[in-house]
Amino acid sequence: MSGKVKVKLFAQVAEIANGKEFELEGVDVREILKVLVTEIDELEELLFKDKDHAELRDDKIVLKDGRNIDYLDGLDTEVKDGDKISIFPVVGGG
Amino acid sequence: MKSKILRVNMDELTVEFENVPEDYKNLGGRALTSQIVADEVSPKAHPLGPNNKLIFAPGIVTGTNSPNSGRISAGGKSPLTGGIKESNAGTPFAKTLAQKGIKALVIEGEPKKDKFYILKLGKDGEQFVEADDYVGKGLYKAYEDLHEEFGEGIEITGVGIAAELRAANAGISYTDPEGMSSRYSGRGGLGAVMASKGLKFIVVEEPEENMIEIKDKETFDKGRKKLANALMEHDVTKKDGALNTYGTSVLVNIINESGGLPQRNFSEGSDDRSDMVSGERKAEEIKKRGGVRPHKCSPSCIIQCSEIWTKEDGSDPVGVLEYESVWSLGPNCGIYDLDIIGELNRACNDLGLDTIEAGNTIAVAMEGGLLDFGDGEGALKLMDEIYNKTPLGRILANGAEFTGRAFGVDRVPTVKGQSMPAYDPRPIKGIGVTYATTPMGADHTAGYAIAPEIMGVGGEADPFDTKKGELSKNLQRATAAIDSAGYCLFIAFAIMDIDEGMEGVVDTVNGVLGTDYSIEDVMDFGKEVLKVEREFNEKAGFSKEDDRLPEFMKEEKLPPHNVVFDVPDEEIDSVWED
Repeated sequence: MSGKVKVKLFAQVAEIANGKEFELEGVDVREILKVLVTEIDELEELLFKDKDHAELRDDKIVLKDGRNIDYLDGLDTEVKDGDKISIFPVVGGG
Repeated sequence: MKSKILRVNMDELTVEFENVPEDYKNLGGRALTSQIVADEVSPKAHPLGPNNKLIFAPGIVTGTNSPNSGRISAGGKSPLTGGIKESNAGTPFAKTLAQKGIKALVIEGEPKKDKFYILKLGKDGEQFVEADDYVGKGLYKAYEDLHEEFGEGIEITGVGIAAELRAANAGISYTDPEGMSSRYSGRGGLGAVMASKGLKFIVVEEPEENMIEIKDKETFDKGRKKLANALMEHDVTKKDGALNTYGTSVLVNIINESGGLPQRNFSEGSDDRSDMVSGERKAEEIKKRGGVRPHKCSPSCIIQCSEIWTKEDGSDPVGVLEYESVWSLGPNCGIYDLDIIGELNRACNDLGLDTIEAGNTIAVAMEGGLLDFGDGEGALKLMDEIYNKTPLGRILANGAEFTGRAFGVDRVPTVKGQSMPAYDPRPIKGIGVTYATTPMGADHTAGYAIAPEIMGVGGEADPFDTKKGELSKNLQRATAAIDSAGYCLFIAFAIMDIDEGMEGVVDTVNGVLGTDYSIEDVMDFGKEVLKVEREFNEKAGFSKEDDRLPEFMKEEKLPPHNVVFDVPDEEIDSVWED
């Protein structure tokens, strides 16, 4: 079952997309990100290691409802209506 | 060794240069301040009494041209925690003190008369000057006047009005590269210790001869290049990377989205309005206003995460608005306005207050009903109470725990009397283990578990996983070593991921000291520093029961994840196992 989710971009990822928020539909995080990169071509190389969208680049952090998808089911993490995906470059500070 | 220890006796207003004892030869920064405190200060001494001492020590590589080496440690027994304290800062003062050949400054005693003095460490010698004209003056103006009185080519450290009150949240200020009072050994109230010695400022003149000795120049040079390469390669620290582009506040959004950015005195973990005070928004504003970004806090820095924030028309520079400060004075008080936060930060820098503690204090006062959450103008008026040295101002200048007691508040986010930084430990548990166990009281820098838990830097760890004893232990050991070497802690992002960077750190330390430490020795070095600090605290009366987070964090679920802090006590205590 697919869901409509809010996608929020931050820092350099937001600058490249020239915007911050999208509402996209898909069954899992991979599908949502695939839709996102068809809307903004430059993001494809920035987010994925390859054209098959098999793996995320190591220097990106993707959260689903505040949890890093690495600790859920990765790109296969399912989404439902009203979920939120947040995408960051690797950041640091403190 | 050319470097000396300078002992400053405030009873007699005398100074004496001493040779560096054999045991201290390979120590610097935190390792040296903590060792001198352990050797010379009774753990039972009153922090503001004549038996406490205040130590300054640049790091081992500080003053060299190795990247990001401009750090200084201040140490003593803390009036805020009652335990040992090391609080470090990046400032040109560190380099100047090191190049003058001062390995440590030990300030002891207290003057017979109730007076404040300036200690000038000049090219022509050392002298004490009365500081009467500076009492009650804000530090921005004081530093301007000191530059006028002592001329250019000086660096300054000093304490402000909060320290004149001998308040437990009085920090120690240092000059930034513009000569302003914006760099801080903020945490733990060491400013009050300096004031209790009758010492208001130390003014150091640039020496004619650089006294730093590098025993093995070849190894040193090889090391500094390796470290520079790692810093310029890593995504977090490289030019145009996250820190360089947005500053430390780039964390606002990711910690908020992760549900761990404390809002309104640690009652919630995120709020959509946090974006209004994010690093992205701030960088945009600084550009618009004609402020400076990126900027370096000290001469050797190549990461350049700093900045100069100004008023809307580009006037009245404040200095950097760090992530921790933006959070404590902002979302933690329900304030989402960078201009209000900027003015609150200005007041902290001017009064000589630690921003983390100050923001938590305001939030606790809000919780106690003194003013409403979100009342920025009201928060600024509280700062006036401190300027005016009123009884309320005296309460507030003593920090969150003291203020919580004064206002009958039971949600007070402190460990060992020191309030928490900008990460709620309920959804990010490793940082909670560090808050609980570090000898410093709640301190994120002591073992920055956020790097693996949120950023995936230096390994990966699920923030919800409660098995974090080992992680915090290793981070605390590595950090104690970095704080002693004199490097900015932000090099850790790069050296934890890039081996060449870690080699660079060890090579530069070996180069300066003429030692042959290996990478494996780094953790042992850090372990030894922690042992000295923990033993001091035990003798001061602390036990493992003090290594606990406040009760409310184990009982109140934090939205949006609705989790409590559930790391078992045995896991917390495992930090101190071998």
